Amino acid sequence: MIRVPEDADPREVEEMIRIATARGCKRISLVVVGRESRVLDRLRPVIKGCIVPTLGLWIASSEEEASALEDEDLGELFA
Amino acid sequence: MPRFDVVLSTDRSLMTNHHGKEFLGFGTTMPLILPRRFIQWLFCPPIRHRDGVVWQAPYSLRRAEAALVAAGIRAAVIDPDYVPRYVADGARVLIVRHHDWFGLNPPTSTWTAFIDKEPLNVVLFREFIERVRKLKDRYDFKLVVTGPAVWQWLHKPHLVEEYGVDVIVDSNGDREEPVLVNVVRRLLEGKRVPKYIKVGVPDSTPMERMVPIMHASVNGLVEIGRGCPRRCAFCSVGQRPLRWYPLDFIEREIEANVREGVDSGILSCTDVLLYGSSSVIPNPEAVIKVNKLAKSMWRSVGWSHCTLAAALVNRRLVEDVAHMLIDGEKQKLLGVEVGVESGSVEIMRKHMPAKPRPFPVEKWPEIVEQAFALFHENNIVPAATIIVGLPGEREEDVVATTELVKRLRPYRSLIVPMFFVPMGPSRLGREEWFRRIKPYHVDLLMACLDHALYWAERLIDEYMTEKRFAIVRRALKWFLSRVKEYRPRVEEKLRSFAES
Ligand code: SF4
Repeated sequence: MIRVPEDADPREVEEMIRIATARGCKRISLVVVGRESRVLDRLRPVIKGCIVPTLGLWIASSEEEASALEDEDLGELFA
Repeated sequence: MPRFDVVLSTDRSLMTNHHGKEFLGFGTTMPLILPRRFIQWLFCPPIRHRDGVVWQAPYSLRRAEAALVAAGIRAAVIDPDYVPRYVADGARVLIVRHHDWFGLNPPTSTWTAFIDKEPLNVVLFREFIERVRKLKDRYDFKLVVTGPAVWQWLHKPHLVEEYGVDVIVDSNGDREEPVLVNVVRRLLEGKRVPKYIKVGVPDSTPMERMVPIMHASVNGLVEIGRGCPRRCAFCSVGQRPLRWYPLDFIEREIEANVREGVDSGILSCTDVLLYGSSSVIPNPEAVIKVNKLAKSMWRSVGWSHCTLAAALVNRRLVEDVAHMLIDGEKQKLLGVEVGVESGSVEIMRKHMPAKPRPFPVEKWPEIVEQAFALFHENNIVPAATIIVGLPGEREEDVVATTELVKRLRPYRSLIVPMFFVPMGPSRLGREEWFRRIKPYHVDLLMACLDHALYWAERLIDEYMTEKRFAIVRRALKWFLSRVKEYRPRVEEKLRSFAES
């Protein structure tokens, strides 16, 4: 699970995903606090170009909601 | 009226069987240059249904429906006009699947590059999703969007909010049923799911997790495999592992169609001639078996796709299969989509070096011509695609393609030019969209149009022989006569549009 600031540079996010993948992560959750349309717009290059690994993008409206998401396991969706 | 917890649907451009003629589906991508009612009747008439439960449905919706039902979830594919009733009656999840939500994919995007009118499929989707939006204001249900082109929502992020999309499941060019089932389960249990799920290659659906369809698919289309060994850079399915479905799986899907009165069908995969092979060399025994199985259960059998190189590797196989399928009585032709893509060896080398394999890439233009000749002699009618504007394309590449198209004139076929689109899961997904049309592109577009005008009328006569098609045949011919009449104006418009 990677916490991503709403205004994160997509290249930095990509680099984080690359490092996690190189360490053997098959599935990565990105958790962002922000407005849906802004987040999707900003992370478009990251999501669109990704073939490996599996990505789950969680968008929370507040820090509390984002913290609650830390217990979520993307792997359950592939069980 | 039955009740369902999950309703699957799409707009009318896909929830139709195109009068039983799959190629008419192309017409739904055209801009509305003629009255909408006529175009809609001609290319996507309503499908038969009982209380909104449709007779035939797009194959992928059927696969999702089967997986959900197998998981114990009450789900069904519903006609778009009946979605409001089922939502009002308590459906808690609506799954919408599409392959061109906003008309960004070819061929829709090719038309709209130079014709200033909205395509029918774009209009139909917008009207459908706006109805769904209104339903969301009144009823408590979750909206899940999925399918191969779901990346298009990333280009319209404001619409994700505006239309109230809850979850986007991006299969990344693969089948997405297992993850879809888990998403739905969690939604029904009131649990959280990500806004966007992108299924990575390691999570490609294995054969043992695939569930065969239970009800009829549009025009009897059944998938016989997934993935492609050639891995062209612009293509999404080519990034996925190659998996062929076993014959008993295919038989069950054909049976589901036959049981519900669909007596002809289409074998679908990236290359029917490679069925059962793990390389680019056909496995003749497997290809014969799967075609024999289909022909033993259906009056006529079509293929979704095959490759020109595979056809030339084993000409005898092509002749034998054509002979088996085309019996003259129930079936006169065999239609198939093929990728020509380019007449330029350089473009092939750069973006799809494996497409001509096992032949050398330098031989590509000859492979295309020889395969078209082989198909022509055996009554196989290819609908070929050409890709215009691939990254790095030069004038000489386009000229080589135009010359190739002209050399293909003697062979019964259609050739459809498509402008390059950087599709989500392909290796060219981050490239620029093709936008700048040059005069030499116009030469190529006109060569394709002239090829179509040369063959289309004859094909209509040969393809739509049954009496029940009399009206559609007449309408198509009238449509064609209009296109012929407009040809000079089309060229003039294109030339004025092209950058010099
Ligand atoms: S041959 Fe066709 S299906 Fe295979 S990768 Fe190339 S374009 Fe895709």
